[in-house]
Amino acid sequence: MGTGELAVTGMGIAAPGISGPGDALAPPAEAAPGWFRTETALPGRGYRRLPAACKYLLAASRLAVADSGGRFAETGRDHRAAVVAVNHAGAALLEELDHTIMRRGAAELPPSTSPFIAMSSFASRLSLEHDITGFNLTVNSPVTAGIEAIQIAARAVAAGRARAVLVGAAEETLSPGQSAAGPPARPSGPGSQAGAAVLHCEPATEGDARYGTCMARSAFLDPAAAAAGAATVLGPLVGDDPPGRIHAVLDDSAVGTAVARWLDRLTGECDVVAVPATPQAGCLVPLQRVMGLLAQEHTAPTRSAVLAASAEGTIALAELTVAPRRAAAVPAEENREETDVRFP
Amino acid sequence: MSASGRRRVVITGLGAISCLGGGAAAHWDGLLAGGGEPAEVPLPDLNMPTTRMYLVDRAGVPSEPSSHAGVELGSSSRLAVAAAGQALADAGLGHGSCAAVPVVLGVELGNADAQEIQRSAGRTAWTTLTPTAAVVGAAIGSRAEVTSVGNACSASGFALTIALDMIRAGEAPAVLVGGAEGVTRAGIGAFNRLGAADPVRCRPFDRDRAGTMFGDGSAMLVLEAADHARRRGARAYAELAGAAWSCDAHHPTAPDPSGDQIVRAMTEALADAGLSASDVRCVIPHGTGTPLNDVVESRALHRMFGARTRGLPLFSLKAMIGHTTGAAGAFGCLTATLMVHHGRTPANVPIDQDPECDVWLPQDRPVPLDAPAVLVNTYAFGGNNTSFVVKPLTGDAGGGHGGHR
Repeated sequence: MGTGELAVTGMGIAAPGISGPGDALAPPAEAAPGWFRTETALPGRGYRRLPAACKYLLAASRLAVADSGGRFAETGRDHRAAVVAVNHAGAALLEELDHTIMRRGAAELPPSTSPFIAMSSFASRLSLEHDITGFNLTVNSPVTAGIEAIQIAARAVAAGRARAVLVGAAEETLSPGQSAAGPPARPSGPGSQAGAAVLHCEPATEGDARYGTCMARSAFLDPAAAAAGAATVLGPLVGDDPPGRIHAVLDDSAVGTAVARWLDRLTGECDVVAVPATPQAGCLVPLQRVMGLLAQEHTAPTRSAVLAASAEGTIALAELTVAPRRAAAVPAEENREETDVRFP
Repeated sequence: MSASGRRRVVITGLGAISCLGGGAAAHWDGLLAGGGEPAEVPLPDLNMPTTRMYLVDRAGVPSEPSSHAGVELGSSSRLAVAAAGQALADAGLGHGSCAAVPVVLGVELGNADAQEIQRSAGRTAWTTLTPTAAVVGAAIGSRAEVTSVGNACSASGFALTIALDMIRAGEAPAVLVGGAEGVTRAGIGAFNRLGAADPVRCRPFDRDRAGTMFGDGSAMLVLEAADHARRRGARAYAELAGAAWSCDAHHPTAPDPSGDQIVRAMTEALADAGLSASDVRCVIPHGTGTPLNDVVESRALHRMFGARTRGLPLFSLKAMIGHTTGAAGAFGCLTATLMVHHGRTPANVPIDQDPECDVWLPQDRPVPLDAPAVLVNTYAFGGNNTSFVVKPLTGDAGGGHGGHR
């Protein structure tokens, strides 16, 4: 299921309509042209030709590293690491590159972006930026990869492979052709999301857990038998002592529907906040939820969770203990959060 | 438990499908016979000079599963399911006994061929590029963790280490781990553009090497806690004794010429295994055929093994099955396991060796391995490195039967 707990000591986000972690519970917004300005977010040379999702990831990481107050730089380079989740961060670019091959030949591919056929190239740029030599890992399970990144980072820290880890997720909007032909988007937001969110994590035993602690578990529910298998899979995953509130990132697939119905049985035990998603939403939304919950203001330690499931069957749960703190300079944004919607 | 108090992890099941055929026995026989030959990639619109790969015989690519949760599947998922079935059967884990078995796969451009065929036909809807781990999870009846690692050419090296750590941490007694890749127009096209696609064959350490050449296929292994394998009477082939990760933090695609971080990964993998450099009897290098990679790795091996390097056999796996990218680490682990199991390393493909790559690639005949530990390296774009150690069963890591022969 999962190993280890991480302390979150820094957070950074770059996403449309989001000014900081305190906004992270807001519904995803359309990526309007110009929402991200490279020269502002990434001043300096060498960024202009990078793919958009790579820029978002670098920008969010800068903010998280700065927010950690220099703790990342104080960690030896061989003990710094990154675990980054991507689903469609490079999808539009890959389509563009492939169209170039089909129509004009591989000789016309741009050399600056051709390496990004490897989805790990998005995260690899982080190592150059922050001199990360511990390890740099990319995970890509549909939807759940962002939460799985927490799980894998925690396991690697427990195994002594790193002492400070940037845990992130990055996505870029699909091309019009890719999204227009896909499943219809919900009226509440775009079908695919753009942006990046990064948590600066340390061992829970060492860090000051400024924002709180997190741990993650995951499981698999066969889409072909989702309704029948939901209880067997979700019971052990959620456990006997669920937190007071679970944010559930679910789409309308067989898996999403089965999970939603199973969550209904928790009525009275905890609040379930529905976070509607599309199958094209990607893996950023769940990690962004984690960030938003950790940014909330509480007077006492507060347990909450984010549950995400993909149509393909992966399910992941991030369990959080939010540290008591005042969200200085950032108002609690409960009013921007979706209302506590029960699944139908 | 090991002397350090950790759970020891053994390899109890093997599955493979590549240009050498289907099954671990076919893989070993194919290596002994000198490996496979490149063939033309069966994709449309391959507008590039180099269009060949080391391919699974198309008649050997399973036709099912053809879809998963509405996603039309390309060849990599079908190859993965086939190899997974072999590995689980080899380990004596039948369908119905895998509910608690996690799946950890290295998958980079997993469903690219399906998407590229759709694109050539004018279909543009986006579906996930990486359904493979979930497809395997469904095929084996897993309800446990299903992880998909996307670290390009070292993806399944990372996957193996994750699986090792899961078992050591007591999260699961057995894990299905591996990698799978199909054919890809975009992948070959990008390597053509970057000057990294050899038009002749995959020729690591050859003086005329001109880049790599891809291969498709899937390799799967069942990793298991030694005590768990012993209790159920499972045969164990070898022990996955240690692993380590590092990152160059040097360049988006090129390796760090200093080799510092790949030396660190090798050093720490051996330390994790409780071994020293003198215990290593064979190395399966990353050895892709790209000019700089092979030189840097050769020099790093000299830093690791000193004067012994010229007498330390390397087995250049990619010369026989091509560069299977996300699956390369799993194929390396599978091959190392078979070497340990059979007590020898196959002869390498004959090459005209580059004098700058001052390593020993025995080409005349198989080399016997006495009490061998085999070190495997996998590297990737971005300088993402893994090294791991496969060694014979000793002491309480011994399984029900099997071992060195």
